[in-house]
Amino acid sequence: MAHLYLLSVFLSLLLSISPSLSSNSEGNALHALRSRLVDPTNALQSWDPALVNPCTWFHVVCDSNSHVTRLDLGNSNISGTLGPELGQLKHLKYLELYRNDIGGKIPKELGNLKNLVSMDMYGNKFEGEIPKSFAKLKSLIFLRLNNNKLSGSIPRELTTLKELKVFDVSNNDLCGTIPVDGPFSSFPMESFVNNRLNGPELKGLVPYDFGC
Amino acid sequence: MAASQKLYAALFHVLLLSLFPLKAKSSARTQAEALVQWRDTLSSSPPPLTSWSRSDLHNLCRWSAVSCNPTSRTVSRINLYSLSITGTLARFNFTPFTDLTRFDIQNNSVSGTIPSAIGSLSKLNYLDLSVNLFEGSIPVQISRLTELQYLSLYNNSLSGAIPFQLASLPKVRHLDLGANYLENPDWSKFSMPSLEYLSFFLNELTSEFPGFITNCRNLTFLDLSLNNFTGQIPELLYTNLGKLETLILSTNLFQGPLSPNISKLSNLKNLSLQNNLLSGQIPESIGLISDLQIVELFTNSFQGNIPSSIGQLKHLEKLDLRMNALNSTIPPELGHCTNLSYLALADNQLSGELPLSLSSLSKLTDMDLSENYLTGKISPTLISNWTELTSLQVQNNFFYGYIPPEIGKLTRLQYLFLYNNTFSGSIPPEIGNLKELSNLDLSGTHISGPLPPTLWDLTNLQILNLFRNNINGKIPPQVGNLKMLKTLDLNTNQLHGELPQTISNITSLTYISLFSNNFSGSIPSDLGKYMPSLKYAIFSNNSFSGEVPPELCSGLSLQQFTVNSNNFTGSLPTCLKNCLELTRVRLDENRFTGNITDAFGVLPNLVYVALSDNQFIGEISPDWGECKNLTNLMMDGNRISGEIPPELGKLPELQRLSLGSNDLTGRIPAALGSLSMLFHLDLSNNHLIGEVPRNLTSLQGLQYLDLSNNKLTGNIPKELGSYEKLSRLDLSHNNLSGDIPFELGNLNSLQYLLDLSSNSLSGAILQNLGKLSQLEILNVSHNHLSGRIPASLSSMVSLSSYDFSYNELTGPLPTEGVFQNASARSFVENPGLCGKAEGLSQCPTTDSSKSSKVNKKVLIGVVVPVCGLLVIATIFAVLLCFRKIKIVTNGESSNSVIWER
Repeated sequence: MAHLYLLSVFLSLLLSISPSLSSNSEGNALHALRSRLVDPTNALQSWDPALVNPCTWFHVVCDSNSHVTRLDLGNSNISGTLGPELGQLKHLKYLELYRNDIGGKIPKELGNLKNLVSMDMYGNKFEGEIPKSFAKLKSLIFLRLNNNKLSGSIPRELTTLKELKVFDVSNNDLCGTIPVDGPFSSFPMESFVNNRLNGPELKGLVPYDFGC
Repeated sequence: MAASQKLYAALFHVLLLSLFPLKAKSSARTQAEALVQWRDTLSSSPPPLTSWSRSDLHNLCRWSAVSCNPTSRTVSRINLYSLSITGTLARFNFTPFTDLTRFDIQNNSVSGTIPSAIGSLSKLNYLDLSVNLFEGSIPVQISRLTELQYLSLYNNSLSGAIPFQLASLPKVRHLDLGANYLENPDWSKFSMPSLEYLSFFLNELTSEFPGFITNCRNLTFLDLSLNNFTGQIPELLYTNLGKLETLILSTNLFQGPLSPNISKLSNLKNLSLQNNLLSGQIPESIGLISDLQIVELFTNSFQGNIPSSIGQLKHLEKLDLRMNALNSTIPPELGHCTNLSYLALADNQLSGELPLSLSSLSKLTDMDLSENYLTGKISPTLISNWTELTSLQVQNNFFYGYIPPEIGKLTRLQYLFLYNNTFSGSIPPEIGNLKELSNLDLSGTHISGPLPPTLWDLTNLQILNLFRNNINGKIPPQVGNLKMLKTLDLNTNQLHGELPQTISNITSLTYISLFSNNFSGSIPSDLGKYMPSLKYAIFSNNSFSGEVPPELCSGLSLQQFTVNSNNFTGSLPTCLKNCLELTRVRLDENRFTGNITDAFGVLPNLVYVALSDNQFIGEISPDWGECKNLTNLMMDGNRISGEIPPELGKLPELQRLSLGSNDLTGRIPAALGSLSMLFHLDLSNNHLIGEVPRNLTSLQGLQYLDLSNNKLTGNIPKELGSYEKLSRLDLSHNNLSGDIPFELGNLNSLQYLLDLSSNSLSGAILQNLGKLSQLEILNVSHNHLSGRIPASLSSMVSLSSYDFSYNELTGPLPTEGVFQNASARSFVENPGLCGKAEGLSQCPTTDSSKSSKVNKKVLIGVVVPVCGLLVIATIFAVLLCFRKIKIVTNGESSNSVIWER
């Protein structure tokens, strides 16, 4: 009979009306991120969706208006993938996911992070192309995507990123030519090594995705 | 010999003959004796069995719970259901009951195994052992009960495989083995064509759909729910079992589509297939099963439309399609199902507006359309007709417009969930008519305006969630009318004013959350005093002042106590240290005073504590070391004194320790080196002395280390260089001496800051620092560093700010990379430093071989303007000297403009 009692508890849980949680969109976005990640060392343990906002979660930093400005998850032994919801962190300045084991494509929605200063995703297993939408990251200064499995060409749209100071895509599987316009005029060759890139772009002669 | 043999034989014969009539007589007596004997073994026998008496053995047929066959005068039926019998059947002697047709002991507490001797009841046609505590396996001897028509072993603890020998019971029409722990037999040995009722509900069956069932053509009731059956539902079920009225296959692992042949089950009244892995479309033919009353298909993977043919099901009372992937609109035909009382379409991808035809569903009592993409207004016409509703749930959709005042007509409502929609306007005062309402959730609905005074007429309310809206005004004293209230969540609105005194009288309150409003004044001083179950007290981000009610935690049930970012003053409630359930305490950013040394005791469940930015005094109690679940301990920005207790090193879960900006003295305890989970350590702005403990380097997860503004001495431990995750390191404003260790160049995660300024560091800046290619801010100013700035530093491509000033650096500035546009301010007071930066002296051209190569044109190009400038400067200086007397009173300010800092 204990059997049936357990069942009735189970059923009543199933049928009970779950109360709505206090939450905000940034917290939801981070919680969605957590659900996609595998976190064997519990770096994300404090990410409790029941809390009002994510500002007291570890490795999340907010500004005085409780908007998430930094995500410090470098070297955190996490794997899994990223999802489009990360693009909802409109106030994010630092996205630090370096030296983990995250795979899959880089979501194009990251291009919505208008305030992003630094995107460090180096040392993961990201694949697919560098999203063209990154051209919308007008505040971006640091973009380090080195040591992944990215393929395709370097989007020409990135040459419009005036603030971009550090760009590193070395050790990927990129192809085509290296842009030379805008900030790309000053990036050292080390930023491009160990790809299938064909050297600097020769304007007007070869399409930039030549060899892709 | 022969004669005596004959005599014996004759005697034996007589004896035998005399036994025959005797046997019938003594059989009734044996039965009576067997019953009494068994009764006496029971540990609890009910009053009705007192009529079973040894002194009354001959009146067996008058005993309670026993019926006799009128001709044989022996027991034909034993009916012992629901008599609270406790015991076993182990000593029930079944053998004498040769005429027994019915044995019913349903709903008692009979335990032990089912005795195999039960197989001797050869005339039994009705056996009900259900709702008892039988365990072990089903005895195969049951298969000897060949007359059996009704067999129920429902709700016991029977285990093992179902004996295939049951198949040799040709007459069984009703077989209920539900709610046991039974396992698969070899179904191929089964054949029970007489079955009309079959239940294997809640067992541990794992096979595919048992094939024999599709040959039970007389089945009207089939329940296989709550097992782990797999595979598809066989097509033969639809074609063969046309008499089925009830089909329950729920909570299994059935997969594949639902066949359009389902319509061949033309007598079906109840179709329950929920909690499986069924996919594909819901067949349109379902509308042909005209007797359907209950359709439960929730928690599957059905896609596509809700078939409009459902509108033909005139007898439909319950339709539950929740938690599928249906992506149509709601068909207007659904409005024809006028007998519907329960309609649940929640958690699909349904879109569009609510068809007005649904207004005909006037018998609806439960309606759940939540978690869809439904939109449009909630029409007053619809609402007005749903007057029987007890539960209305449309949360998590895109409904808009006003909440119609007609909602006040739904006077039977107990649950009203409208949360997370984009309504406008305010809460209609008519809501006060919903006297039965127990759960009201309008959170996140964009509603504004004040709380209607009628809200406080809802005296049955248990949950009131109005958070994340634009509600303004005050909470009136009438809130105290809500005597049943357990949850009051008004967070993130624009409510203002003081909390009324009456709120303290809501004794049932367990959860009060008012954060992020504009409340002011003090919280009623007796809040909590009469709330023994208060678990959550959340008042953060308001302008509350005065003291926290001293008896807030007197119920000792408090789990979360968060009052951060207010103007609270005074000391903390003394009951806090006895609230062993506490998990989260936030008092930061208030003006609390008082001594915290003993404010918290050993709180084993505590996870998060923030006391930052108050005026607490006292010391850090060693008891914190016993709060084993603590992950966050922040006390920065107070006036806490004394030493850091080494006991803090005993917190295995601690991730953030922030004790900065206090009056802490003594040394940094080496024990902190055991905090293996720590990623954030801030001990800045204290009066700590001694060296940086070398064993802190076992803190391999450290990302943030701030020891600045103390009185630390000794060298920078070279072991710091092993912090692979360190992204911010501040050791500035101490008395550290010696070299900058080479190993700091290995901190390849260093990103935000490396500040070693204002110490007594000496020696050279090593080339290795140039490897910190992600570092953005570097400050080594105000030390005694000497030698050249290594050219390798020019490859620190991420540097946005650096300061080398006030050292003893010499030689030329590197000219490449980050030094290209160097500002003099970063290098001042390094007498030996030279370079192109404005304000630095030009480097002497020491390299003669190079200088000889300098093109004459360049030389002229440099010398001429320099000489020219010198001439102009001299003239300017002379002029200035002449005018000095006039501007002397302004001297200081012009200086400060030039040397702006």
